Amino acid sequence: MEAFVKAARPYPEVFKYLGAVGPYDTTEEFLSTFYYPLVQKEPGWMLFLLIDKTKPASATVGLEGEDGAVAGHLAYINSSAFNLSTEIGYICTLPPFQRTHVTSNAVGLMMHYALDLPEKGGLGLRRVFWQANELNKPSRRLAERMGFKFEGILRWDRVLPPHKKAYGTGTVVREGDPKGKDWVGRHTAMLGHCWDDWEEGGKEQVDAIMARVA
Amino acid sequence: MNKDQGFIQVKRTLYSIHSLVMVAQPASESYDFNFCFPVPSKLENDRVKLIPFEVDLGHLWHSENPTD
Repeated sequence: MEAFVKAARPYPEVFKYLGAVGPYDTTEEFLSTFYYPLVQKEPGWMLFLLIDKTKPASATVGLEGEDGAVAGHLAYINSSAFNLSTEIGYICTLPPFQRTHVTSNAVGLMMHYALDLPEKGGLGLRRVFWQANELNKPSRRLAERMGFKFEGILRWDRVLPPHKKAYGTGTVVREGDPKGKDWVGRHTAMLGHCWDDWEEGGKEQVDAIMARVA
Repeated sequence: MNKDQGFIQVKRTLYSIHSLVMVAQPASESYDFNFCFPVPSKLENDRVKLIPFEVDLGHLWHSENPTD
């Protein structure tokens, strides 16, 4: 945990679209506001530390026994074992690793694990989805590059805390709103990559992107 | 497939696509990830590696950041 918090501390802007979480000054803050109440508590959540194996630890920080540098995190969220579905989310790629091979390779690995059949080492899920702040164009572009199909906009999908007001809808909520006017809202873009997309060329598309040299 | 069944009961096959390697071993058996699907010990290819977060992962941390 400390490794991620330490690596991310110089880059508070990477949290601007990550819902109500971050940035974090301390590991304790990361644990109490994100890890314990969401990742650990929710059985649909699994958070991964992302390491770029091609960069030295000095690019950010490193882990003992691991080559490479801590590059961020990403997660399976809102997963359902019954419905065979999951979401890839809370993608946080630190600036030194943005616009490189890092995010596409990390997302590709998670797509393979989720969508490949069990006989090929995956979970065999039917649906992987992706939600992004409507304003987060880079996230939506990445999703579409990885074969996710745009499915629609979820209006007023999230409540954002006051310090993330700049990333909301820009519309003031009505008088009497239970959260108050300082807690703005956001619209969310929903995209999906389902088993049939995967089997009908999606897997090859993802593999081709992962194979590209950054 | 739910968490009551436990991820350690699921066997996986090692395989490669390009440089992709999905690792067969389950994640730390001593740590409760509370995830509804089996948790891999890592997802990795020759460029990136994904490791499940554990609360004590930070104890492995050491800084090589020259600005630290």
